[in-house]
Amino acid sequence: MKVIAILMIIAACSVVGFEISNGFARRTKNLRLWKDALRILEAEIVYSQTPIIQVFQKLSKQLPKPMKELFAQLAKEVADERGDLYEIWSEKLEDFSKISHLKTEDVEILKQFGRTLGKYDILQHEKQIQLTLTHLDRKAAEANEQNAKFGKMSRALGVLSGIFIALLLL
Amino acid sequence: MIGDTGILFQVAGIGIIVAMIHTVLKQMGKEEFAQFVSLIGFIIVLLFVLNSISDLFQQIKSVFFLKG
Repeated sequence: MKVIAILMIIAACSVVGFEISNGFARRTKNLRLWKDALRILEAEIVYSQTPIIQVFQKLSKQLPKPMKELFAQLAKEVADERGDLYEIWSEKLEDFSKISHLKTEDVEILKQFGRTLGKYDILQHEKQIQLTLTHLDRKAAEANEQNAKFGKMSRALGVLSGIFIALLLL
Repeated sequence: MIGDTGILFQVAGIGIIVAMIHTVLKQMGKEEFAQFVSLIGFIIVLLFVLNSISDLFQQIKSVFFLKG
């Protein structure tokens, strides 16, 4: 009985540690996906000059899981004309930030980008996308560094603190 | 007379785990947290052995001054 309880405490603390380190890994991954998305967006806007709804649909087909739903919903709501593009964009980003472990500063960069979307000509758009990409590059480098540094640490700390609490209660 | 030896192993275990946490934190450049964790570990162990230490002092008193 005691052994089972001890194992459960250690397992619970380990899971918490692994979840925290997972959060760091997921932020890195999602930032990379956003960079891909912006490159595709740039190609579609600057070279193909596709309308924004079709761009969103294309993005939702090309990108993997968490981004897929985001762009599918964006395409749908813009098509339904539920309001300003920026309103829909920032609303969807808020929802997205809850499941993607992105920090508020990352979301803020993307929101700023959404504010410019559809407001200027192609040349300005290209510049805005390049600017956002630079910002995201910086954030991605920072996230990578944090992931390498704190990912391992939170995993080790989770397991160790589990054993520690179990020993205290022995 | 000697009492149970379980507390010895418990204290040893806590010591090892605190040392490991200290090492991990120090490696990641969080020296102040590492110091803090060591201090907390020490205090917890001290609370654990408080009874035994007070027993020891009572014993010493009774040996040298013949009162308990």
